[in-house]
Amino acid sequence: MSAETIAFVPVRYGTQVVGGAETLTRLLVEELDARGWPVEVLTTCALDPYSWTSYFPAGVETVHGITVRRFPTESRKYTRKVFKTETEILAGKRVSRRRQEFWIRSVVTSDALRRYLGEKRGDYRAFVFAPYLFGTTYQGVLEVPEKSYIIPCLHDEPYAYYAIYKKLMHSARALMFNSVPEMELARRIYGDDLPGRVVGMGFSPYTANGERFRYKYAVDGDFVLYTGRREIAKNTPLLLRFFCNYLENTGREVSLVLTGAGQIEIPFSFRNRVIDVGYVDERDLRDAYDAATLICHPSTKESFSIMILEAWLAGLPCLVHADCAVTRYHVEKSGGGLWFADYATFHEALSLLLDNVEIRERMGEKGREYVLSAYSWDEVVRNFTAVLEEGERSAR
Amino acid sequence: MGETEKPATEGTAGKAPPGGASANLALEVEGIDADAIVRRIEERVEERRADGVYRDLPLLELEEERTGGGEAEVSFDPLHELIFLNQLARQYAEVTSHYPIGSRRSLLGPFIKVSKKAMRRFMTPYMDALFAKQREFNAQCLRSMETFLEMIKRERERSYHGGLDRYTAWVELGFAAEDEAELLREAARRFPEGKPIIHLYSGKGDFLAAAAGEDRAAFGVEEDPRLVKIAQDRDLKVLSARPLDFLESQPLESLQAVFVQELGERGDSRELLWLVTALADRLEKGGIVVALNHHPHSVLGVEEAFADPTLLRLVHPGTMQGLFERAGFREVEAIPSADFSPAEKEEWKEKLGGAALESGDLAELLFSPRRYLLEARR
Repeated sequence: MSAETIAFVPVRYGTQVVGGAETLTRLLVEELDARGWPVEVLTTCALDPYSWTSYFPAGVETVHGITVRRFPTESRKYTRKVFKTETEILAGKRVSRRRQEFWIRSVVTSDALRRYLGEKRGDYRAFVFAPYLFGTTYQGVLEVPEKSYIIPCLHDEPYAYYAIYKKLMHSARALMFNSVPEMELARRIYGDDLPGRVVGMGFSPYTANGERFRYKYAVDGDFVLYTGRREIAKNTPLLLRFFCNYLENTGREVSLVLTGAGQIEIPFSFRNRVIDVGYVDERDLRDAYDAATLICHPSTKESFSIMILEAWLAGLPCLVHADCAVTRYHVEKSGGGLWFADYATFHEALSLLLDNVEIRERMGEKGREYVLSAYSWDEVVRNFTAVLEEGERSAR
Repeated sequence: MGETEKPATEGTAGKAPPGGASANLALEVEGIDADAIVRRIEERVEERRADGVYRDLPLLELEEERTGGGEAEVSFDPLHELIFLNQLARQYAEVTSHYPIGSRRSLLGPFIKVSKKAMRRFMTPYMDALFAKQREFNAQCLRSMETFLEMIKRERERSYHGGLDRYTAWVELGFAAEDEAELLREAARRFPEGKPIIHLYSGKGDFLAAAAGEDRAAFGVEEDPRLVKIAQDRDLKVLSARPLDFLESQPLESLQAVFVQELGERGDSRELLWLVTALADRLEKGGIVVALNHHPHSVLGVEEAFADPTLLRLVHPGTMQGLFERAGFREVEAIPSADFSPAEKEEWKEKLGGAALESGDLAELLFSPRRYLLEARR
C-alpha cells in the first residue's frame, strides 16, 4: 500500500458475490489494477445480503491479484423497532432523523472497518464507497469525508429521499454515477450542486458458446433469460407471474431460464417451462446469453443494469419494464429491445420478439453497437480519473 | 472457443397460437424504431383487450386452475429436478425453534400468543438439543447434494464436445501438460533475433518464458482473463484480447513474427481458417509464422495428445501446409519434432508387451515424432 493507493469500499466483495453494485466495483477494480493503478479493497466478511453474517474469514486475502482486507460485520439485530422503521420507510411515511440514524446503524455496519478507515486515512489517496444504501458506506464516508467518493447505484426508492442520505451525498468529495438517468435522479433529490459525473463500467466483446450452455443445463428450444438476484425489489415475481400467464394464454413452447441467487417459488405445474439453474459462473453466464432467445429485465429500480449491457454484447434483444428510467433509457437510446408496462404489453412484445428472428437480430446488433461505443473501458477510466482529480482540486 | 450460431431461434415461430400471434404487426426491420413498435403494440393491445386474450391471474390461482386442486404431473429433466431439490433443501435445512407464532382469534388471540410464546421459551432448550443434531444431519445432506450436483455439471461440461476451457483443465482439474520447455525453446529459436514475436492464445505464458530464455522479445495475446492473470503474475507481457479480434485490428502487412501453439486443435474449425487468412493479410513480406502442433502420425502420440481434455482434433501437417500455401504463404515447411526418448520407448514396450517393437514398420508407426513445427513465410 502507498499513499497513491485507491481503496474501494464495497459492502461485499468476491467472485461469488451476486449483485450489480458489487460486480461493477469488482470489474472496475480489476480494470484499474490491470492498467497499473495501485488499488485495494476494504470490505466486510459478508456474502449473504439478507443476514449479513460473516462468511469470509476476516483478514487479508488476494482475489484475482488484488489485496482484499475483510472486516467482520456487526450482526444485524432485526428487532421490532427496526422492522417497524423499515416498514414505515417503504410505505413512504415520515420518519424522524433520529430514527433514520437508528435504522442505518442496523443495516450492516462494521466498526472494525470504520476504525481502520480512521486510522489509515493518510495511507490512501482516496476511498471509493459502493453502494449508497448501507451502513458501511454511511459510517465510512462520515469517517473520512475529505477523501470519499461514492458509486451510489441510486434507485428511485423511498430510502433515497431520507435526510441522512442527503447528508451522505454532500459529505463526499464527488459521486460516480453509472448512467445519465441516475445522475439526473440524484440531482433532483439532493440538489443540482451535487458534484460528480457518469463513470459507469466498461465492457469488452467476449466469445461464448450457447450450445455448451444448452448441453450442460439440459435446456432445449427458445428461452427467455433472467439473470441476477431473484427478489421482489427486482420484480422477479412479476416476471414469473407474467410468464406463467403467457404460457397458459398462448400454449407456446417457450421456457424461462433463471440464473442467480435468491429464492423463487415456481408453481409446480410450470417447472418444466421455468428452469431455475441457480448461481452460474461467468463463463456459463456468457454462454447463457449466447444461447438465449431474448433477455427480460423487469426491475424498475436500476442504476445501470450490467445484465442488459452484457446481453447486448452477445447480440441478444431485451425486454424491460417501462417504469425503469435507466433500462428504458438504454433501450430507447440503442433500439436494442422493447419495453412493457403491464401484462398485455408484455404478452404482445414477447410474442413479437419470439416470432421475428430478423427483428431480434437487428435489435441485438443495435444493442451491441451501443455498448461498444458508449461503454468502453478507456472512456470509463478517463471519467474515473476526472472525478478523482476534480474531487482533489475541490479539497484544496 | 468460437462464437456459435444460435440454435433453432424460430422454434415456436410457425405455430400461430391463439393468444400469441403477432403476424398482423407490420414492421420494418431495417431501420428499427423501438418507440414506433411499442406504440403499435399498445394499439394492438387496445384492439384485442376485449377478446380476453390477456388473462393475468395470480400464480396461486393459475396453479389451482391448471391442476384442479390436485397434484400436477410434470416431467422434467433429472438435472433440473436435482437443482430444484437442492434449493428446496437449502431453504429447509436450517431447523430452529423460532417458528412464527400467531393466533386467529380476535379476543383471545393476544393471550393465546403469550401462552404459546411462554411454552416455546420453556421448550426451547429441549428442542434446540434435538434440532442441533437435525441441523448437523441436514447440513451434511446438503453438502453431499451440492457435491453431486457439481459433479454432474462438471461431467456434463466435460462430455460436451470442446466444452471444457483451458483454464479449468489446466488449473482447476490439475491437468499437467507434458514438459514442453525444450520444444518451446526450439520453436523460439526458429524466429530471427530482433523481431518481436506475438504469441496468439498465449495461455499461462510458457512460450513467452522460453522465448525470453532464448533472448527473443515476445508478448502474448490471450482471451481468458484468468490465464492472462497467471501470465502477468509471472511478469510476462500479455494483452487481454481475443486473438482473432487482435489480428483483425492490426494494419495489413504490419506483423513480423507470430507463434501459435496447437493451432486449430481447439475451438471451432472455422476459427482455424479465419486465423490462417488473417495471418496471411497481417504479416509483412518476409514475416514468419511458427506453429507447434501435435502430429497425428503416431498412435501413441495421439493418445498422449488427447490426455488434454480441451483438445478437439489434430490437424495433419500436410493439411496445415496446404492451408498456409492456399492463404498466400511463400515458403511453408513442416518439420517433425519431439521424438520418443529411449526411456519412453522402453516404457511403452513394456506396456504393449512386444519385443517386436524394437524396430521395423510397427515401431516406426508407433514411435514416429509426436509434434511438428510448421514454419511459414510470407
